[in-house]
Amino acid sequence: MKQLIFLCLFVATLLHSGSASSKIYTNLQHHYDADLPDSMTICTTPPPGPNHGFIVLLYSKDCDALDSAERVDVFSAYNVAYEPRSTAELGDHLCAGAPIRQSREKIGSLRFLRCDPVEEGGLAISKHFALRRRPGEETDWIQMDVTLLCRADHAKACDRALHDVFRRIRLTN
Amino acid sequence: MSLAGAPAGPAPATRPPYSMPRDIEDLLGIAKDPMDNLFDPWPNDDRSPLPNQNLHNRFFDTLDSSLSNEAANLDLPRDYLQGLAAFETGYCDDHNRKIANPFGLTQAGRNNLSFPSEDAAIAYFMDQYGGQIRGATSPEDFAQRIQGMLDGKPVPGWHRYNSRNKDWIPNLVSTINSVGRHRQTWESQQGQ
Repeated sequence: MKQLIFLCLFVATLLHSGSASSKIYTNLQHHYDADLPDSMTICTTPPPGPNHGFIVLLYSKDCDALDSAERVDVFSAYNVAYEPRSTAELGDHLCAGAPIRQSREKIGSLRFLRCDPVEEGGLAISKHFALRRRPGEETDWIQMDVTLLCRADHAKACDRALHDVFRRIRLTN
Repeated sequence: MSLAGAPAGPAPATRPPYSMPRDIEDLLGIAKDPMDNLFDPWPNDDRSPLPNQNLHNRFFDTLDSSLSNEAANLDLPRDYLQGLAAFETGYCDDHNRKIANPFGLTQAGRNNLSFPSEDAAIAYFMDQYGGQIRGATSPEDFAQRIQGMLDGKPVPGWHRYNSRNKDWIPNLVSTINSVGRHRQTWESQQGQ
């Protein structure tokens, strides 16, 4: 009996420590959230600015110095800026002439396309994007894009970080 | 570049110079042509419907007058404020209509603010950002000003509307450039 109680306490401690080490980013308007560990440095727009998403800093911790920061940008918006009618058509706008390719990343069943990486300010920029039907709405679509900005010598680690961010995002209704 | 069918042994002299494939997709020949990737059917890529004119009509029914008046007070084309509201709320969808928040403003904790009326929300927005957007001369200038910048430089004391997303300005400018077209359709239907 004592062993059983000890085991229960041990499991409860593990579960508690697991749940205490993460925070949930929520976007009610665009119907998704993300379970992000406390160890990640997350930047969001301070209120009263609009809530379009979040940024994960990969090697730095200063949200006010984003220009040269290696990071993963996760943003969403209503599909009104370019009014594309497909993810491929959205790519025509977002990729600015760079080739469009199939992304290996997805969120749930939502698959993404990506632009061929471009270099800017010493960072390779790789944009992954998708259009998503808004839950419960026939006519409203949501644009999601996840962008990796990374130095060439960190490419492998950044790819792993990008995949990790993707798997932490969950589409909600 | 596809390696399928490549001849064994040394390459003939006429073969084009070999270049390193960019990634595994090139190696497998999947991405030889960028359009090859856009295979059909794309699971989440069924065609989005045409822009929803009923939603646009409701947006202009509700906000055209008040946003046009505020724009005139700030010496701005009305497309600027209407484009911002359209972009932030998806032409004031049901969610944003319910909370009377035409500019997608948030409170601490990230939820959108709820206002007693659209007029109250517009008054709050004007109090926060009106001074710095007054007299903007182009959609790009308007977008920079609302981000707290003038001629590409931060202005001390000005608020930043969206301080993180680098694609926000081109998205806003594109919406400003298209909102007038939807308003014209609404106006033409008013006369019918």
